[in-house]
Amino acid sequence: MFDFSIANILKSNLINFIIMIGLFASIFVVISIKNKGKKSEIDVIKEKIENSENSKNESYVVLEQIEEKLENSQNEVDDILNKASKNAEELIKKAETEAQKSVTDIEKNTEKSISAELNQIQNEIKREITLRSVNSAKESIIKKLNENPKLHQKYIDEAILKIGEAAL
Amino acid sequence: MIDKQKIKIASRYSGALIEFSKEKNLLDVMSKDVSALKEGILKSPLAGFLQNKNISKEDKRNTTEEIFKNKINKYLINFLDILIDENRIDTLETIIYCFEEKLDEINNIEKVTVLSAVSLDISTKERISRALEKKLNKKIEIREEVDEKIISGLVIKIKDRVLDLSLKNKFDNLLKEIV
Repeated sequence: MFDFSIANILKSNLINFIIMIGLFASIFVVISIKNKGKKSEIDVIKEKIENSENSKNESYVVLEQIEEKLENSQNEVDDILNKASKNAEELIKKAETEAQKSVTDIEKNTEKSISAELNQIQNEIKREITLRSVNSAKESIIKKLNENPKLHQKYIDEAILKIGEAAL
Repeated sequence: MIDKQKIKIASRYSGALIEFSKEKNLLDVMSKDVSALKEGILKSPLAGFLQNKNISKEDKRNTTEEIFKNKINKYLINFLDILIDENRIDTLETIIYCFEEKLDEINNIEKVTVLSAVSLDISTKERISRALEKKLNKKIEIREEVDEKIISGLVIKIKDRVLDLSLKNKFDNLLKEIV
């Protein structure tokens, strides 16, 4: 019933139609594959783009973090600097206070030593004057006793009176 | 320096002489004779002679007897012989000192040395004696010494005690207070 010989086939429209359909299908497949390839390529690129976007975003995040860190670092540095500055100020104040105290102490000590020296000098002068006065009195009495031997009796009488009072 | 051992020995011998004199009722005589012995021996070359170890004990005994015979009582001469025999004659000065001390104690006498810048008249000495007798409740025998260094006033020495009532002492104390 059906003649499938090549000649017949070639002659048959159905077959031609089918071949045409096949050809179209092939073309479609090819185009489809191409499109598919194109599509996957786009996807890759898209993915890449997306990835790059992600990377970019990540980079931004990292950058932000770094910036934040940097900011924090800056803050830390600022803190350290502030603390250092504060410490320095405190130290300077302390040093100033101590220096002032030392100066005050030195001044007080100096005043004291000056005062002590002054007292010593005053005492020395008093002592010297008193010594000279006593020696002068002694010489004067000896002179008077030599001039008037009777004066001895006065001192002897005084001595006799003191015998009773003296501890023996 | 005081030789304590010598004083101990001298005290024993002088004590014995005192006791003997009391027993024989010769305390006054012995007192006078000890004074004579003191004058005769201690202030003469005899002391050196008696202490010379090259001279025999017999020669020493004979010499003392010859010198002091009829001058001091025989018991005191015997006492000297004992000291020569027992090699204690070198302590004679200390024995005499201790004897006089003990005798003064018995007679309630205190020997006092009074120093003054000028010599004292009898009336002053009597007043000093009376003041000291009253103070010490003892009879006082004054030995007077003149020492111009005390300037004026009196210095009274009673054994090892000194009562300095001199002007020099007053000035010295004044100077001590200042220094």
